[in-house]
Amino acid sequence: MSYLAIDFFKNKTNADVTAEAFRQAGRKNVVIKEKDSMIVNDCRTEPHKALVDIDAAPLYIVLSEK
Amino acid sequence: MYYNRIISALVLSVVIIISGCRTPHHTNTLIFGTNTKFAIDIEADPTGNPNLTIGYKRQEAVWMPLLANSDNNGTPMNNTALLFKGQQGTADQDTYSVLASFGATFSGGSTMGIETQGAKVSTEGGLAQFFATGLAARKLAEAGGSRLVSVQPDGGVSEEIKMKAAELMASWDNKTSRIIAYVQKDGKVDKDRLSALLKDTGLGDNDFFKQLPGKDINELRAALKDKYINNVDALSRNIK
Repeated sequence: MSYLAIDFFKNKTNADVTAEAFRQAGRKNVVIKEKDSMIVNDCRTEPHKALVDIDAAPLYIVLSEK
Repeated sequence: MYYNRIISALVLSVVIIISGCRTPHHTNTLIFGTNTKFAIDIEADPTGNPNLTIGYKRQEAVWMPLLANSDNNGTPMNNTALLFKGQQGTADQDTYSVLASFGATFSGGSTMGIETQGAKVSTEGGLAQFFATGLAARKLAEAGGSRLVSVQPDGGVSEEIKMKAAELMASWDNKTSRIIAYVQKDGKVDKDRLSALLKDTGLGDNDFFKQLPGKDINELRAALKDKYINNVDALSRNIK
């Protein structure tokens, strides 16, 4: 099964809320992965913003079945 | 029932006697016990009427590691000399940290007559329980610990999260409606409005959006409710 990253959060509660909203919207197998020391560029904005900066705070990635 | 009460009274008396009635001399002892009985009886009679009986009985006993407030002479005790304590770092300490959790789910079903035509009845139930003291209890309270032993079929998503998720979905619906109202012209996707909408969203090079001008507005509506639902926030920010 392949997964699609659908959103990124620095706040766990926001990740939980979004994941649950995607579940209620009908997305299958929505899960949250926690990553430490990782920098992700948010390609939904121009210029792309780094979601985790030098403080290396955990990043919560909401994934769903592709 | 009468004999049960006598036995319970005797057990309680023995506990009090052996533990000593002069509580300032108690030990730092934690005793926790739980006894849970759960039963499901489910059946479908020949007339097709389902019968369901659920039995549940729980007994719990706790003998907590109480801190002595004063000695036998009424002098305040120095509780910093406790033998059993939970400590986090140098400043944060509490009573002995204990965490015990129990959880189980049950389900059952019955069919009368032919498998595909008979009366069917089924049910499910669950038990959840946790017990914590000290730092473990504090951490659980901070992190919404009830989810640890939740028996909810959705994996333990709290009501608060569900409510916020519903609010988020309502917000997405509202923004989608605003996007559609902004970008449509005579039921089609307007090229200039779409171009303005896509600015700084990272979707400018997306094949779906490149081919969208002039197409039925419902195509965009369906895409925003499904594949591009997480882009609704960014798109709606460009509505002038």
